Amino acid sequence: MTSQSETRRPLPGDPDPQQRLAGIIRVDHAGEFGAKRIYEGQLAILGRGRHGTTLRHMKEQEQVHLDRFSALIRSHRVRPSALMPFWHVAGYALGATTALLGERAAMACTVAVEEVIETHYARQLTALGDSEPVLREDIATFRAEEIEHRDIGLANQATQAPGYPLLSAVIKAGSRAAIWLAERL
Amino acid sequence: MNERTQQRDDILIATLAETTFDGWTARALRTGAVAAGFDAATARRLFPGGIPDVIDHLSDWLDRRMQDGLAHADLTALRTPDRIALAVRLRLAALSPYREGCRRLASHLALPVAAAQGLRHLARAADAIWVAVGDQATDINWYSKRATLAAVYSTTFLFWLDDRSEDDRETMAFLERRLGNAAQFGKAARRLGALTTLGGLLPSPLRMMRQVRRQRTARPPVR
Repeated sequence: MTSQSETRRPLPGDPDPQQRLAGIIRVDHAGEFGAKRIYEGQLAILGRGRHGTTLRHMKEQEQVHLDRFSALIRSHRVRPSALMPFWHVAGYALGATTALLGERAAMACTVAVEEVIETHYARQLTALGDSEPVLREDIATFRAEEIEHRDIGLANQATQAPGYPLLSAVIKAGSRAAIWLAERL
Repeated sequence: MNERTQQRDDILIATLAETTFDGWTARALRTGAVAAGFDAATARRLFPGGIPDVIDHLSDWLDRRMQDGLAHADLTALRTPDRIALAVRLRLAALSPYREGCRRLASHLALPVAAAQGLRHLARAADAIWVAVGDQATDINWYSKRATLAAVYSTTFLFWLDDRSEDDRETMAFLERRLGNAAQFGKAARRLGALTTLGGLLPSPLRMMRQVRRQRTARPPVR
């Protein structure tokens, strides 16, 4: 078949489907919350600038995603991430800091974060396989919108930000660490 | 409800009565199964893990009894603390014929080998009550609400074990007082959050910068 990780048989100690679904909902809820906070942080600095409308549009889309996962948390009785207060502060701080570095840096932040989220959603879609058709459809829609955000960032000279490779690498590593944490805590 | 759940319920209820004498032991389960009209093999098939499985099923049974009771009540007319009080009352009412068995359960769950299960049982009860009264939290309040309720529920349960009053009036008064404490605690925490930087400043360090900027623009221009 395809790659080994996709077709691997479950091993003892692997989370059962129920736990895995709970983990998916938890990490996606925390992620969308963090994304919303990043845009709020950026809007606090650049809200009146020329990118204000774009940022508000992206924030509104993240809010829709967040509402969807909040509803899933309630209906599936999933424990939300225990680090919610941390995501609250960290997301806002990341958004505000990159925005203070300039409009291009803010767009570079968007590109880096959305790229990580996009791969993360793609991996979840493979992991879900044929199960949970409704959730899969949602994730696919959200993933398309995250890709749209990334393209908006690229169209707004993200790669011309000061120290782009370093900035992007740091933010990507941070986002991956955040995903790892939110899946567990 | 499927047939298996019904059989488990029957054995559980008969076992609850037996634990008054035997404590939460394998013998109580065997005697209970026979009293409910099953043989020992059926009891083993329905509760393969023995007593820990029976205790898990007790959680399940209590959650269902509470949900059934709440389904008959008009929750929209009640404030949240009253809804919680009603949910707790329904759980304790379901247990009231087996108060001695519950006392034995409390001492069983205090043993080191069963302590983890006891905590799980409590966490599950707190979660079930909040879900049943319509909790919507998806942030850190999810945790604080359940932690507060776990403290209230466990102390109320211990008080209830020794309550000899009619219709558990004393327990209900105790519960009201504890829920009152919890509400005060929440209010105090909110006030503290508004006072310290935690709630006021941390999410928005930029508020301070705005202040600085405003002062700078207010100053008359230097010639």
